[in-house]
Amino acid sequence: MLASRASVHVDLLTPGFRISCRINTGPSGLFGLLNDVNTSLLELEDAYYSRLTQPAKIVSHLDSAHLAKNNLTLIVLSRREDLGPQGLARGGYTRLLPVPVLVTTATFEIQGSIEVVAKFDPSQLLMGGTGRFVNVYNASALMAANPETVFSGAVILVSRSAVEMVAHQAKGKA
Amino acid sequence: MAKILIVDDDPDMRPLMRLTLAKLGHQPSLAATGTEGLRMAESEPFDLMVLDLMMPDIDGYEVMRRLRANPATKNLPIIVLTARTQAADYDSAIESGADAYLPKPFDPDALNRRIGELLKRAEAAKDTGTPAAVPALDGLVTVVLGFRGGVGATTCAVTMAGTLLRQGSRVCLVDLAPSGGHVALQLRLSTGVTWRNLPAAPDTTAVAQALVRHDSGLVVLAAPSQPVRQGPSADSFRHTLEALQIFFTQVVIDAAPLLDGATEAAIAAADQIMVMCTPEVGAVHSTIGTLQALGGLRRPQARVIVVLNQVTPEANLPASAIEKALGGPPDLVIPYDRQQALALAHGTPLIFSQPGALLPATVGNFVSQLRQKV
Repeated sequence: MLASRASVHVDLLTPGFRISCRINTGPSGLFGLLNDVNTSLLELEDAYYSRLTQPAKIVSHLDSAHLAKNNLTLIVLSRREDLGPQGLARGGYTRLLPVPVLVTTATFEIQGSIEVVAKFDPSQLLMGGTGRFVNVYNASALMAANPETVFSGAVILVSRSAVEMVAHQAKGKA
Repeated sequence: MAKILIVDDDPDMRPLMRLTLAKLGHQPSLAATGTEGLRMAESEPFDLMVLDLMMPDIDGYEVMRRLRANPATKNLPIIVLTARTQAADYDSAIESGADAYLPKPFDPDALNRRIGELLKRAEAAKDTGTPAAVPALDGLVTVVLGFRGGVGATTCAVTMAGTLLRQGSRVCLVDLAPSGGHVALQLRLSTGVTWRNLPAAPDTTAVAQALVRHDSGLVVLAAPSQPVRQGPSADSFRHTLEALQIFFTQVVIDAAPLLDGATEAAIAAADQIMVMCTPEVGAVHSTIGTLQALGGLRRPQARVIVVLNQVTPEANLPASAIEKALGGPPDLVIPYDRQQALALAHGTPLIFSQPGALLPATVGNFVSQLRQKV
């Protein structure tokens, strides 16, 4: 597969918009950039935005834009490796267990699996550490107001501040 | 050699595409904007267009709508190559006039395959005078066939899918059995949603909602756990397969042990067909019949792989007799592996619990060899 060199392509979802854009990542990768506590803004390049009501219709193109991390709800990645260096994105090299979960925000229902060291701990997941986002793998996000609209990706990063509910799902339950 | 117009605003992508297509023996031309692409397509004849969706001046959807509205370009085959990979993007591209849809970063083999298919279709359309605007499919389709029970088709399909997943592919495993699917059983998955939940003509959203996920990351379209009268219809399964190939680079189908509509549709779309056999008279006889039946059903370019699966410690037929009956040695021999039965009993297929064991290692080596050949 041929990959672009210096940036990753992402779909950013806010409560009202879908923004498809490139983000230049440093050596710490996208995960490091998103969780960098020294900056509250994301620099977007070559951004195309759509309204969530018509997510495939491109409203406009912007050469560059800035987005407040606080206003992001989801980030959809088609490839897991776009997260960045494995040690950083996974928080180390320990063996992790996948746990199927349902996560809801005001706008989306997200299904997929999170990876935990020992057992599912909602407090740690939502309150522990300083990271802004929870990684949900092999995930799909369904729009609550329009269930016909589904975003899916190898990873969906969910803003912890946007999470309303998180639940451990029965194994294999879609 | 085909004249191909590449329309992409990404300055890194254009030379890469030109190089890739030139190496494949085509004659590429480049356009950096939607406007330029439209002007070029309208001013000189091209055999095919590779089109980006996200472009600053006119986006790819609009380019396609204008091309389709123009009698001179309405039949130009268009492959959309885009980083927008959501189901809504695919649906919208097809509605706007795309013939095929490939995600970026692109796989040159997949692009080449798609170009070949569309050019052939366009040729056929010229001969018959009918338009060629039928969506093409992405990704590789592997069908595992075992018309005689007990030949290990499901185990082979699970192992094949797991192997591809471990090698980095996005894989969906489909269980077509109407008589109680065993894929979900082997993986200990819930069968709360199966292909029975799909409508008659499922779109990408419906298909996405019918999938279940194994802890390994393998995604499964399961069969109902209880026997049902019939599997999906041929049309329904064709729609399903089209949708799956948007999301996944590899689709492995554990076909039903009968030649119903869905199995025929699977065989017709397959890039490779694994015919399962065991070393006993009935299975060999069934394999010969299967190979004969495949003649008129499969695509000419589909690879047929005969798999001899040693499911018991002792073979009932000597290898020479099997080779004589089949007209040559099997393409793959899976040796007996005692651990496999234990793994199945525990609901942890060897490909995930012990990938170094005999069965997954044999299949893994075979897949690697196939990839080298391709």
